Amino acid sequence: MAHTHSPPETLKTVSVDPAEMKSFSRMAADWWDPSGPFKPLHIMNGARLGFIKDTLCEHFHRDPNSELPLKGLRILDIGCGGGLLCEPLTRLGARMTGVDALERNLKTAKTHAEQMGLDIDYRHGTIEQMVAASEKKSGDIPFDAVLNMEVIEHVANPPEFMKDCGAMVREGGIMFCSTINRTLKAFTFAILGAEYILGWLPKGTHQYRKFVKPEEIQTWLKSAGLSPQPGIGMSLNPVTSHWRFSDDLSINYVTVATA
Amino acid sequence: MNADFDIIVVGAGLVGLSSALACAHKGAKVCLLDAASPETSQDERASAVAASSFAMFEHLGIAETLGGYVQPISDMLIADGAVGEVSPLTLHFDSTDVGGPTGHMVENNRLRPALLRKVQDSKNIRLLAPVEILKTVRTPKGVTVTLKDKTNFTASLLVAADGRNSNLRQQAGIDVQRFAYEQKAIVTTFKHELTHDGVAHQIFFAGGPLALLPLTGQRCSIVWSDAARAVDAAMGLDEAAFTAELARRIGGFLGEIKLSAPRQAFPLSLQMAERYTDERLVLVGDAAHSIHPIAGQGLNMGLRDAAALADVVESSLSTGLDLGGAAIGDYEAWRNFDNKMLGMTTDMLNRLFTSRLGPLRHARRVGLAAVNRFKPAQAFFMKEAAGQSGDLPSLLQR
Repeated sequence: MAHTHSPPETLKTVSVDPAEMKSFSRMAADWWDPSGPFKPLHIMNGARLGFIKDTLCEHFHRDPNSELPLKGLRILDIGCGGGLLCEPLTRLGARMTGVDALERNLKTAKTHAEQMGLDIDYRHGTIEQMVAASEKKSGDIPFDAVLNMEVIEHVANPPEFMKDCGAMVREGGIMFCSTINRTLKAFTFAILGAEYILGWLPKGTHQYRKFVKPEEIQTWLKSAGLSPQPGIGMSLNPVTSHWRFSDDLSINYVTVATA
Repeated sequence: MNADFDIIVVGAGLVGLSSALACAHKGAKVCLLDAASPETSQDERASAVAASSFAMFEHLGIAETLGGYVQPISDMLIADGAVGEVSPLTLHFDSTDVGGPTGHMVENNRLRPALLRKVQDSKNIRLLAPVEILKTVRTPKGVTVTLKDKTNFTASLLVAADGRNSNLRQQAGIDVQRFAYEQKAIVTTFKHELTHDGVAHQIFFAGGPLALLPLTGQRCSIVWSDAARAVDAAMGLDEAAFTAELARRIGGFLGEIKLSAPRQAFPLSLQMAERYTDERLVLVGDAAHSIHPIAGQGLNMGLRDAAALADVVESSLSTGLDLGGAAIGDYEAWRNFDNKMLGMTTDMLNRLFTSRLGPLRHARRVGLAAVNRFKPAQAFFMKEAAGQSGDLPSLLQR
């Protein structure tokens, strides 16, 4: 279905890579199937949610053991997909906005949130459209935190994309950026392993040349006006399917930056 | 839809009560349903609670309320009944726990009321019993349980603790692998003249093992496994004749014996559910697995289910994840392999020890020595291959 306010030409500019969109479009309905094409995200979800929650609690001086530790925090999830992060963070009290360039993803996300009885502001579009819209509204930036998780390795122009993401973080706010490193090990595990051997991800989900080195992330974050902390590695134990945080940045890693 | 509860547990047996308590301990709002009135249970069995399981009872505040009814097991001796004397070989109850007793004997008719009181006192648990469940509906949205009086309760996750013939398991279409032993077991309790020193005994006869499990107050609980016909015959004896036969098998080291509880007989079978989860459904305890009582591990398996479930529930609650969502896959992976290993091991032990074949009878005496070496190897394998990074559920740790 065509959306008149977001014609494909504008979507193509900074964040949207048409080939990437095609591959994700095929999988939209499967977001919430734990053993479906997004299995790796489900496996990763508990660990990354724990990290996001703990970091937010520390940054905003919240008690992680309270019933709604993230109560009232305005969080933007860029490339929210089916809502795998938006829903749990809403349960923890956050006021989530999820944006995704793919309409089918948002349809899945909206339907699922409704089933779960969760109130989430899902928006079809791109981050640059949001930035343009907020500039029109006298530059009011409402987000305490921006999640930029497993997205940047799929976008067309990462440095520009990062600037747009950074523009959505309010002063004193925080951004999370996770991605996959451009190393031989990452190629082996994330592409050969996850896509070709384990069959967790459809072939072509990731393109090696679009993986990102930690120093590139640091540079882009600084250019976006943020203060990045050193990256933190995430490693998967393939036997137990459990993720651990470590100082090994050779495959998956997350970078936290403050505004 | 905002659910009434996080979890609905069906079945208020030992494992159902423990599951409700363990999940409530981690902050979940639990509804516990049972078809029977909570005070009506007549269970003469005693349970060997492994050290790790006992740690959970300590964490949940159960252990202290059991007070004087807990008998520590100082050691476990294995004997071949054909030889007629106690073998010097020892088989340790729980090789992962060194230091302290290897386990604790508690009578079920003491344990269950203690668990029940704790459930009734818990602010996070609502116990409804007796109630009749009209239907349960599990959808991607959630779980709805409808009672006969048309009351509805909703939750994110349904826990089947409804026993070996679990209705919820059958409704979910989960198959079981079943192997009926041609054995039954007699359970009763006797008082004896000489002290047991906290030592548990397993005496092996051709028809099956006789376990003597030390209780408080100079008493032992027995699990006498034997060929079905032999058990039926023994059940048909009057009390004096039964006591005489039992005394003959025990061999006199406890002095005079006198029965102090009614005899109950149970058929023995190995039963393993092919999977432990379905949409928004988790099986625990006998609903998921029931094994031969030869190693006294049945309840401990169920308690480990409860503790593992509690950990999965805790991590979901703390990260805002849907309790009935992807996380229940972690429970499946954690418990299914562990329990199948134990089920196979106990089955092998039973076959080894009840064989009438000469070479096997001889081999089992050698085998007793091997069991000591085998257990750590088994523990290692289970930890590495299945073990979810080798961690025990948090409630089982000291």
